[in-house]
Amino acid sequence: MDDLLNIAPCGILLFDDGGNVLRANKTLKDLLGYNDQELEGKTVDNIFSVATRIFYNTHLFPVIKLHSRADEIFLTLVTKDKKDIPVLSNTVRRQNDGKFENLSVFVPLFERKKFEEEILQARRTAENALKENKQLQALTETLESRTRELEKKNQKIVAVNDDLTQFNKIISHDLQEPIRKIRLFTSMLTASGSDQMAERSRMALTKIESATERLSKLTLSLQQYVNVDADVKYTLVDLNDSLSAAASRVRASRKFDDFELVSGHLPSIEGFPAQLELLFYHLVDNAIQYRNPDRKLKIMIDHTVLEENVYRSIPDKYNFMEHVRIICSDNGVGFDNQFKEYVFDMIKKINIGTEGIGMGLALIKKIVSNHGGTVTVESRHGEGTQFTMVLPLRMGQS
Amino acid sequence: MHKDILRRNNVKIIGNGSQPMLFAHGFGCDQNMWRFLIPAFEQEYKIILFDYVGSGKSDLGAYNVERYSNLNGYAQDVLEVCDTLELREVIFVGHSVSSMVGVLAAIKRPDIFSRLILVGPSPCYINQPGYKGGFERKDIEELLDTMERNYIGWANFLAPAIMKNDDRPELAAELKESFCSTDPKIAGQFARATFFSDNRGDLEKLKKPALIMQCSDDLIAPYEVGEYLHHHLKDSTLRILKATGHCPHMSHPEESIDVMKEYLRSKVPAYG
Repeated sequence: MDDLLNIAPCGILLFDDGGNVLRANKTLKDLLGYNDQELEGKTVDNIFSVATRIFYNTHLFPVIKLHSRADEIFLTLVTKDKKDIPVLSNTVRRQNDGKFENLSVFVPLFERKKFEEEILQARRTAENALKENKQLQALTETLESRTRELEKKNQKIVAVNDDLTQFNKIISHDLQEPIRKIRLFTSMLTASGSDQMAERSRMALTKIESATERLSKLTLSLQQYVNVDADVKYTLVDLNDSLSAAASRVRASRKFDDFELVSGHLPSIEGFPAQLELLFYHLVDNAIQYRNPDRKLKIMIDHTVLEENVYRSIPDKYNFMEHVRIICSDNGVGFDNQFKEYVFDMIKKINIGTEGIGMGLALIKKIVSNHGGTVTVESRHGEGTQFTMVLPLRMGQS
Repeated sequence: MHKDILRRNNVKIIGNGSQPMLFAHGFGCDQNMWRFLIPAFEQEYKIILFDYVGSGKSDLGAYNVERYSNLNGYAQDVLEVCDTLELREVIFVGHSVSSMVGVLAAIKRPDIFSRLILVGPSPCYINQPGYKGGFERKDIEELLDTMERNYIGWANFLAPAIMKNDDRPELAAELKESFCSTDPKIAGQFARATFFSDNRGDLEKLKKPALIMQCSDDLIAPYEVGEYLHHHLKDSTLRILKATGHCPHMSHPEESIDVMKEYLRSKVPAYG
């Protein structure tokens, strides 16, 4: 029988799970240009092309191992002098003396391969044409429906913008005037008859003055919020510059310098320089405002560049592009984490006692969204707060 | 949403432990490839198995070319499964390309993972100046050709995709049994996403400990690649297995289990 196997019109190969050749018939050795015992002891890697080796490791071996056989598998063998031989193979697996052996037969496919190539080529051409056609149709439909959506949204934006412009005018002019008058007349009252004034009236006046002061601050920060808009041209912004400019502005305005600010070398991103500075301003300002009086304030700014999908509002659309994730953490008083969404709302504050207006985090959220990014916050009461912002490195391509 | 993702990724949960151990299969296979390891871990851990969209018994309807031509899309599968099951302190076990998928996922969401076990990992398969990945571009093109030819047996594949051979469903079933991905197009995309990716720049961003299980004679992830990874992954342990080939968890499960258990017995180092 061995003689018959040796002259069988196909290559026969017995190998173990480690890929070691146990036996090969003469047909296979002749086909590959090896002498008598030359193949035994070598590994199958010697007779597989690089691509076949990958395919064997990723596809074929798992199949043989899981199903104990693999039929009609196309592989490329290589001869001793490095010529490719396309073959079709069948493999079975069996246990022999407690060891697993794999038995393969190889049938060369020179003629059939040419034929297959032609079929494959024709199929690719047909399929490409079909695919392009289908893709084009699908794209046209998507484009049409998205354009309509865009139109609707544009109309809404125009309306909202009109409202904002009027709103802004009211804040910056119409509201300022009565505030100014209240201030003027309260100070006249205080100045004129402070001696004669009853204690109760004096108290009431002081209350009016502080309420007016707050009203004035509120309108100013509302004005600032409305004015932060994305319709300016973006440039390449060095975030290190934004951070250091912001930090010195906070130091000056809060008259507070007793804190440590640690940051690695931040990247440059495309964005709006004034807004990015304002972003860091409010991050640092917020940390100072909510510092823990019992320990020195430490603000850590950590960052990582990673790829995220730029499409956040369109479902099933993906384009992974580079973003920078900036994590700003402090050792301040923190807050109950259940408020982590709430804190980004306008004029909402958790610590009522502090002097801020409650617009800082709303501004942070708006600026991040103007840049096509996201911001989240995690906090622990008594331990500190951590803001995570993810901003695209490039605005142009997104 | 919950059920959708669990069905989409054909998620299976087994085992009696509480700490989650998530097994992520590599290119060309599905969750079945882990079957020789599971018995060794199911008493102690909560085992989570899944198929990437496009592989195994996942929901092919959820396949999205844009998403899955990038390893970040596969990482999103991992993160969505973890978030759906609200997993924390996860031990991620990834084979082959899934190693880098796990690295990407752990960089994005360090809060989910405790440590990573990388079986036959490589951050870049193609040779680059000053780096030996093991392959040239043309080898990968040839692989794509080999794959295409091996799907030729599927009648659907010979005809343009639109002409579905619905009267012979047994052909599709057969192919599903043999290779773990049912659609040749998807398999090709996965191959491209795998072999043309270069994640060398991401390694230093990982802030989790990792075990590199390097086979002694692995064509797909040669020894130099294991060394490279060990050098660039800050908190990594490199173990050279006696096992040869690229699938030690299938060819040498006992050794793989021993190495994994030994690593898991070691304490998680505190990471700054």
